[in-house]
Amino acid sequence: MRARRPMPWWLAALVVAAVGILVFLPEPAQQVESLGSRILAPVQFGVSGLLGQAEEVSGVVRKMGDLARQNDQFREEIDRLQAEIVRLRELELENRDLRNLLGLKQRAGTGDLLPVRVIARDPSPYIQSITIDRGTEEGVREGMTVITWRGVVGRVTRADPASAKVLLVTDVNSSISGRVQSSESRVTGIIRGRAEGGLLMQHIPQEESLQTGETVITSDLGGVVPEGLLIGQIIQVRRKDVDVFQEALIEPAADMRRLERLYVLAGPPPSREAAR
Amino acid sequence: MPFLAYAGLIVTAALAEATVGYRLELVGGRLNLVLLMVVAWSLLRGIEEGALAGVVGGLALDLSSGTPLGLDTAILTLIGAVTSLGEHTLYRGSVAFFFGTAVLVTVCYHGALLLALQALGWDIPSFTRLVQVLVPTILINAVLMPIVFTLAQRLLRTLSGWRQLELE
Repeated sequence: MRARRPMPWWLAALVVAAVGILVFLPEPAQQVESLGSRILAPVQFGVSGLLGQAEEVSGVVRKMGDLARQNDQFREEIDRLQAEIVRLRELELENRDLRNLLGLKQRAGTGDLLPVRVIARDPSPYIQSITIDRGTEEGVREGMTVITWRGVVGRVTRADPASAKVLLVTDVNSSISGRVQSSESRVTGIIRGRAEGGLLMQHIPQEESLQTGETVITSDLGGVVPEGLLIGQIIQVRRKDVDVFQEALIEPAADMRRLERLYVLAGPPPSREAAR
Repeated sequence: MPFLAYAGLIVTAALAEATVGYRLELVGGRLNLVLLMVVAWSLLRGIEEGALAGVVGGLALDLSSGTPLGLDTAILTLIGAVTSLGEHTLYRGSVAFFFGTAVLVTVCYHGALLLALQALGWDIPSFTRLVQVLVPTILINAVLMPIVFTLAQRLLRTLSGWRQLELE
């Protein structure tokens, strides 16, 4: 066991002197204290600031970990919600299509609507035709009308057991009867496809007044397509005094380049001659 | 064996033309992959296999087309048979030969198709529309003709090699 060292005499004298100064001479003690504070304060401030910052940094590091975890959770949530939004949008579109189709069906009258998909397009650039994924096995027959909720797309020209060919209304070989839907004129004409794109309404008497923007619908003249289906809008009227008839260029309502959600209007099949 | 494999490729090309071909339209022109494949095989293998490739390609196109069945078959068989005349020419590998062949077969194919349609009572597009389609199509076909020919040649060499190994 080590012997305990006695307190040095000078240390004891220093303590006694300090106490004496504090008790009997308070003024110099306060000055010393003030001086000390003045020197220490910035150091304390700095140290305290550093410690505070270190604490903040460690807090930030902790928070970053938490934020990263939260971020992952939010990302998952966003992904889930985006998928949900996409699903709801699709449902909304489908709902809108079905509502429009319901109206269309009420206007079109007879026949069931058979949903079909486009599986191919004609490889030839001169023929505007598509192949759909339903055929005679599902009740598709030659001459049946194919529509979207926007309007008429074409007619079935060949029906095989599992698929069918549809000649689009924009093909130069397609011709259907149409009617201008306006309060002034209910004129009918023959609507043919144009090689340059769009449709051309022909055989309109010169005396009939046509305006751009007017809607054209199908007419049951000829019995090929049901009446009241939307075809498109007039974008230009061609009238020459020397001609017997005037013509109108029509923008088809259905976008033929982006065909989706098609329906075959499965009514009683028209005659083969009528289908041509 | 090489012909059967190539016939399978021709059918695949016809399916591709019908399903995605229209999306690859370039300035109004469309690639005639089946036509180029038939021509390439005809130049490599002569009249018999050339015509047969035309039958396969034409039938595959007819099945996905709205035109009367047999139209493409007839035209491509004829083209497959006639282009075999270039099989033994000295210029077969030259760029000018490929360019000339592509121009000639494209014009013949489109011209024959439209004439046949008109003869069958179909309405055909105007001359302006024909030019709008034909000019870019000729250019696309001319660029791709040497590529299709080279690929067909390599395929033929590879498959012929396999055949020889099998026999040994």
